[in-house]
Amino acid sequence: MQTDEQEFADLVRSAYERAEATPGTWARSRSAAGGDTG
Amino acid sequence: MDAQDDRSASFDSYFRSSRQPLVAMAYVMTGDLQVAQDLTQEAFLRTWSRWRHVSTYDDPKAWTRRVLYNLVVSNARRDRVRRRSGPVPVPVSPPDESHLMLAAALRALPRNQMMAIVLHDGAGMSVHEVALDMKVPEGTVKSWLSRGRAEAAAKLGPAPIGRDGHAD
Repeated sequence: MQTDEQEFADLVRSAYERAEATPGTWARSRSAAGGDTG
Repeated sequence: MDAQDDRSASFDSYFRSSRQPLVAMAYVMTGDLQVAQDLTQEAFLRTWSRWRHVSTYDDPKAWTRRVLYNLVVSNARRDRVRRRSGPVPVPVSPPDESHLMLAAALRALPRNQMMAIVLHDGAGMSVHEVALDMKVPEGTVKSWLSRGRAEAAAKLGPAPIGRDGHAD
C-alpha cells in the first residue's frame, strides 16, 4: 500500500519526537565559538 | 552584571530552550542524529558569533533555523560528492534506514515545501504560525504542505510495516 499524505506527516512527527526526546552531547557552545568579542 | 555577561546569559537561555527542537528539525531532514547534533551545534556557533544583532530580532530562532537549513543542504551536497569519490566510512551507530529514506524524500522537495512540513508536521507549529514564520498567506502554507507530502510520500513508496508486522 502506498504511503499517503497523512502517513507521511505522521512519520515526520514520529521522527521529530524521537529526536527531541534523545539527549544530545554538547560541547560548550560559546567557548567553542571563540566568544562574541563585541 | 556587564553587557557581555547579559549577552552570555541571554544566549545560554536561548541555547537551552532551542537546542532540542532544532536538533529534532535537523534529524527530520538528515536522518542521522549525530549529524543533526553536529549541524545544530554549528548553527548555534554562528548564532553566537552574531548574537549582538540576532538577539535583537523578533524571532532569533527563525534566524538559527535558516542557518541550520542551509547547513543541512550543504552537508547533503558534500555527502553526495564524497560518495562519488570513494567509499564512505561506516558510522559507529548507523542511522535508521527507513528514516534516511524519509529525510532524503524531504530534502528532494523545494525548500518552502520542506520547511513547511518540518515546521508543521515535525515541530507541531500551526498553519498560522508557519505562515507568520515564512511570511506567506496561510493558504500558501496549506498548498505547500499538501503538495510536499504527496510528492515525498510517492517517493517513499509502500507504507511502512507496523510493529505487529502489518502495514500501519
